[in-house]
Amino acid sequence: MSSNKKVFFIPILVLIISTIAYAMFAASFNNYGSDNNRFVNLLDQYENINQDSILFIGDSQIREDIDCRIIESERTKCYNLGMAGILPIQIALQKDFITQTKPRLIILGASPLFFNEYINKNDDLYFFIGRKLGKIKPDEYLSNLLTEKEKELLYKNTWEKLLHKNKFFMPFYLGLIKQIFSTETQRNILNNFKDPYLFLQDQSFEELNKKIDDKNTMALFDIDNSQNRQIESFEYLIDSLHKNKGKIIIVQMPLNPLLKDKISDKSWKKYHKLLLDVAQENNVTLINLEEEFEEEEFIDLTHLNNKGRKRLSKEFKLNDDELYLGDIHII
Amino acid sequence: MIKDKKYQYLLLLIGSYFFYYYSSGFLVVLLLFSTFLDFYCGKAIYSTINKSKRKLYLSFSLIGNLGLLAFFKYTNFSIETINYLSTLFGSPTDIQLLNIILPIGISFYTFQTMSYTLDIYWKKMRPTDSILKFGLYVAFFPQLVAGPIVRAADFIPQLTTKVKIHAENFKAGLTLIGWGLVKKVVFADNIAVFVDSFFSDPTKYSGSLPVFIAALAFGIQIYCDFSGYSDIAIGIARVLGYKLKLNFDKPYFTTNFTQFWRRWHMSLSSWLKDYLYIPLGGNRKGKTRTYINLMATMVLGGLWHGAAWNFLFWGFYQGVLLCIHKISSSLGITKIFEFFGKYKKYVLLILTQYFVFMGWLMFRVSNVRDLTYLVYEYLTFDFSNFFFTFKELINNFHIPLFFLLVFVIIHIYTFFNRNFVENMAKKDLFYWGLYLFVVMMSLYFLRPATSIQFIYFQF
Repeated sequence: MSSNKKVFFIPILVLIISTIAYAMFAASFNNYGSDNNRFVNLLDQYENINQDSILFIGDSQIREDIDCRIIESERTKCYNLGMAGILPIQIALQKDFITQTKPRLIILGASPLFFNEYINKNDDLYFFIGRKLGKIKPDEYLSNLLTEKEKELLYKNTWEKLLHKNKFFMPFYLGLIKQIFSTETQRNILNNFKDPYLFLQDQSFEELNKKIDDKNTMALFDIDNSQNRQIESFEYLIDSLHKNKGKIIIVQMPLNPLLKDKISDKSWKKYHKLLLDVAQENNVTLINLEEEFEEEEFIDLTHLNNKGRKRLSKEFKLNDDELYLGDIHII
Repeated sequence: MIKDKKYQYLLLLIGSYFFYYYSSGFLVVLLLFSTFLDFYCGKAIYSTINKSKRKLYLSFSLIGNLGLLAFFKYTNFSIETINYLSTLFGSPTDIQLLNIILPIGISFYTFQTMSYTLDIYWKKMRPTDSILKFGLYVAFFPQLVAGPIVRAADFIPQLTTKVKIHAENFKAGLTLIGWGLVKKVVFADNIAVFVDSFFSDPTKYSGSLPVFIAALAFGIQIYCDFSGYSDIAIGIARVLGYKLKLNFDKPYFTTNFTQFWRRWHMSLSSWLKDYLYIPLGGNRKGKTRTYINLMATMVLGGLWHGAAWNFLFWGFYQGVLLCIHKISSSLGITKIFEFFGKYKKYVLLILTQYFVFMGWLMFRVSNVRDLTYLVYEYLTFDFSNFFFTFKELINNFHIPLFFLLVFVIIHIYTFFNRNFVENMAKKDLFYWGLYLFVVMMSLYFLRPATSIQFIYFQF
């Protein structure tokens, strides 16, 4: 081949080689960052969950507040599937995975924050759910609640998925460098679905007060600032799980008493009514634990510390494989 | 495949129009309008010797092009300004904004077509007889939407031979395209993550350090973005056998503001000089008039970048910098820098770029409150909490800042090794292939997940 012709041939060769090299690397790359990796593992975990188990589902409140080791019995296993910042619509997209595990009981933790999209801008979760969903598409109702960008992330083809993975490369390698110089120690919760709490240090009174005095932070707790599609997704989720004959409890998760007076009565009432309506429509048990815990049982405004976690988990502890919450016989 | 050059040009023209139609839809008619208007105005100006008629035809061209630009780009800005001023003076008007879409690249192709008729009017060139060639000059797809602003006298004479892709042009063009893509996709888009976050709430981080880093980051982002696009455009044209002039020549290594404007967006600054500054009188009508002409040119140049107050401020600021440079040069004030001996050029470089980058803050902000805050912090050198803020920035933005640092190093290296890209194109095939491989791997591995539109598209 003449040198002139080679000039035209070389870019094609480079394109082929670099594309193959990238595809091979991306296909074998599975480090998406700690939170994301937990979520990827969580999606994989569904296949390994025992039938007739108790599943705790929700955001970081569930993750931090529930110790399944206290709850489970020999026969009935318990799984804490809490994922920081997860939104109702993202759980609704997983409803088939949840029902396939044929759980004995699903306990869904909720708080006003649960319905607020501003709490979590991590749209990678749609990408991961999309990878797991494969060619299965959510039904029309749920699809209509998704934005175009979210749909794009859910329905990527194989090559697009490989290309999208590139966004996790740099954070991973720079994270490794950062780790070398870091003295902070963290619990590894990537594959922990029993007691995956991450926060260890109680926040000081000053830190909590600073948060309480911050209007933007407090606005997150106002149900009026949440998004309708999250509320609709929540209703859809409960309805779908209920139709699959799953036993469900909605739990109003404990909140720090410091918050009580900082949010308007109107907002509280609206939030309580929302949960009550969903529970009644679907004949689902609603448990209110919002005001059951003291300030010293919290690590911050919404998450329990070790003491609080133990007390809450004991509330759900199975006795002879049965669960009573107060006078109510749950299972 | 196509041997006849006429059909080759036709194919290029159709391709260019399709490219524009694909991105702008029916707004392609504006491109057609501007093309026909100036083709026939140019012919009419050339074919008459009657001065008034020549002026009349020129005014058709200018009114047509500037009218398009004014309507599509400045109508809503004018309405907003009227509403604002009327409220300020106590008799508020509430004129509704019009639903106008800004056609992509309108600022570029109207300037190109105007330069054609103006050059004919000033008898600098003869008009072309071929609407096909003129149409291709206006709509040539590589530089249609974001420049560089090509002069008819530079481009149309190149349309004499067949389009043939020569190995040398292909190699040089592809090398430049590769480097342009890396600048845009790897550097500009990654740095944009920090820039967008910072400017959404500039007061979030206290002190001068974040403001300095943000000014540097945006300056690098806009340079990589725009010079990257220019490289891609020049590279594609080169592959097809056409030579477009350089649009950026290491402007961040200039040691005065005049030099900066000779090396930043050169096709625009030379356009403004030739078609605005000099016709206004340039420096031929006394000092005061020179400064007025400079200010007028730069303010209009600022507004060319966008219909918003910050662009107007930025243009005004650039005008002031140029005037300061002219005054200080004529008074011999710059001689005080002799004190620094062999370090003089470094001191001048730092001083010049300090003010150039301050200009980028004006260019990027969205409101006066943020602008005031940023300029204050930029000028006051408040480095209290330096380490705390630095750590916070690194924690939150280590990836964009990593790319910023890498680009600064590459930029310095390529400044001292001029013609790095041109030399790369001359390497033997193995090394050239290796260069392309590195480019491809960078594009695959280092691009952010979502691509960000070229900043200069909006102009």
